[in-house]
Amino acid sequence: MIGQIVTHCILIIFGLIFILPLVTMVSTALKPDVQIFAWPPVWIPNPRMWSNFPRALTFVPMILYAKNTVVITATSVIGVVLSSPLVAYGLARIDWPERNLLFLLIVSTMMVPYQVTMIPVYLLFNSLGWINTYLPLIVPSFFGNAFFIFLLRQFFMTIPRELSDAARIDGCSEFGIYSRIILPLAKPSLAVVALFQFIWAWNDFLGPLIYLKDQTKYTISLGLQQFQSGYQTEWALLMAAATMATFPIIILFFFTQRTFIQGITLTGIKG
Amino acid sequence: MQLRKRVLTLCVLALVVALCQGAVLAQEPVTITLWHGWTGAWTQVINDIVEMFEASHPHIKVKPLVVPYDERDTKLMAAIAAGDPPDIIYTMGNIVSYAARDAIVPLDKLMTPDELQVYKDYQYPLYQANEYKGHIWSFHGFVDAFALYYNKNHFREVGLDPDAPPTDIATLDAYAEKLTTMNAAGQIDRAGFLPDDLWHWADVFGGSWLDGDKITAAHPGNIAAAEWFASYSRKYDVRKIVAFDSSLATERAQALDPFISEKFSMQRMGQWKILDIDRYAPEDFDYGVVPLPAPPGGRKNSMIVPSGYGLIPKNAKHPEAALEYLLYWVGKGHEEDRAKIFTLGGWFPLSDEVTKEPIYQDYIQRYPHFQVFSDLLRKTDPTGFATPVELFYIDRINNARDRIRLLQGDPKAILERVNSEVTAELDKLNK
Repeated sequence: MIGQIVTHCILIIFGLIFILPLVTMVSTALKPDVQIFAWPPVWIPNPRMWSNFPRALTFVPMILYAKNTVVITATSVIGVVLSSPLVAYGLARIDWPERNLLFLLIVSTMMVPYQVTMIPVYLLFNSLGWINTYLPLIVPSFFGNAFFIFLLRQFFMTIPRELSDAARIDGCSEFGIYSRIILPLAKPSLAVVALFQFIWAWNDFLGPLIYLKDQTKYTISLGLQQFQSGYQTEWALLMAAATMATFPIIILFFFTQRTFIQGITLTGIKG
Repeated sequence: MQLRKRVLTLCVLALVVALCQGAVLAQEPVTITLWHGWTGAWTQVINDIVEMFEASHPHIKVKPLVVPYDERDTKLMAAIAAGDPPDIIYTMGNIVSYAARDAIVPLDKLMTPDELQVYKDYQYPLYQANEYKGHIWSFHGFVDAFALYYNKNHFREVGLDPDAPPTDIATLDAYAEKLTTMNAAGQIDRAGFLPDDLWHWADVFGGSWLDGDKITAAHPGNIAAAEWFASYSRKYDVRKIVAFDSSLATERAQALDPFISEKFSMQRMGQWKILDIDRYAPEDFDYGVVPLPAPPGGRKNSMIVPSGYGLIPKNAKHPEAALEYLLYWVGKGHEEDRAKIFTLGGWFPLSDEVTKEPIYQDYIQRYPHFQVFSDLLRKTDPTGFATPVELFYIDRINNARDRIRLLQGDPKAILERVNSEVTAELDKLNK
């Protein structure tokens, strides 16, 4: 009993530490400018400046940026969900020469930092004429993602071979096995892939920064940067906009929490 | 006959069509892209100025794009590598590092020597701030000037003549002592004056940070200024100064100046503060502006100008049109528009010609304190600060300033260390 109380206390303390940045964000979003840097910090602002939210939306055209972000995010989520399991299936469930070597190669691309490949990849997209379009942000997701391929491959390996064999005996084609047997079993891990991709695409800053050259095509993460200029930062507005930008991810997480955690435990990947 | 007539008519028609096409082609405007970091309400001000420019330059269209200020280099370098950079990018300071990386085009390559001379004369002597390795890399479209603001009510309160502000350092120090007040706890309640920016004050003291390409952080004038900074920390007790500094946090959070909230009687500030005071100060707020006081042997009308303003990246598609936009801000031939730009955002023009415009004069009448800065720009012999290690150097100077103010060592030794650090950084680049 006492042990349980102690465990709960420790968990609560850690929980509070992790929720602190979120609380600070929401609290700053509601503060009048005078209270932002006040010491000791004001946790519950008075008066509460609800007007910061509509002001943030007009300071920078955030609604337009949100629409653009939704388009990019939704399409790239569809992309990874279509492509990554297909590649992972090939690597996990079909025997062919040197497939492990290829898998190693795919996984090793995860070690290369984005900054290193940024300029060559930019040049590639430039020669395709894709600069200032959403294509460089969307199309790559239709060609698989090393991390998701790795994640799904590990999961597919755990599914008993007998299931495939049984289907094969009944005359099922390879693609039929993939789409009718394996994919339905992999729903939780597919949800993880979709969610991860959603969060990455939603928060992506560098990609939209270098590829987009038209303000009407900007995304939320670029919009958030516009609250900071060389001269000053509109802290309250920035935090109000950040709160609004984080909201969809939090909501999504609450609804998909169970699938998400199930998917992570199934694939044996934590964090 | 009939045939000849027909042929002739056809020829004439063809000629007319060709001419019309030529005319249409000549009128087809080029579009230049402009990357800048003015966000929020400032974005609209820039858009308004772009509209003014397009009205007077029908052959050029400008497409402004707000690029997050801190990340503009990443975007620019990717775009330059792909051969698809903007035509203009704005940056404050540090242009020499772009020049050293071969990322920008010198403006003198886009102008004839005669044209160049005209603009140099027009902006004399401030164009020097953008001169490096024999090239002009940009023309300042505007400049920030600094002077001493003083609160006349505080002067009256302690029996000083509000019309006789300090003009030399000894008087400034004496007045500062008189104007400083302490509260019951023995802490500084109001500071008469505190030295702030070592980079600029060293110039006032006759110092120098650069001699050509050479770093001269330990110049005797710089050391004299640093000693002066330390003297304030000794006179008023460094702990009290630190406590006073942190008590100003509230003012800063309100984006208000401690001068406006009467925490300072005298302060070194830029010309834009005139507008802030007009907006935020109470009715009875009475103040004056004078050029920075200088010690004997120092520089009167001192002005130290960072390199900067608009740059034309290498491989820009329309460098000539981009140059026209940059020169528009200089104001030659567009004096009235340039005077208007001044009233839109407080961007000080550099030329005397613009100051003669009625719009400019009306504005100065409305805010007479601008006259001090206008005179300063006319009289100054500005110090440029163009080095490939500009940002690093400034950062080291500010760090040294903090240590000197906290009395964490001998000012001379601290500046000598800055000298060796920055020289090493420069050597690393030159290798």
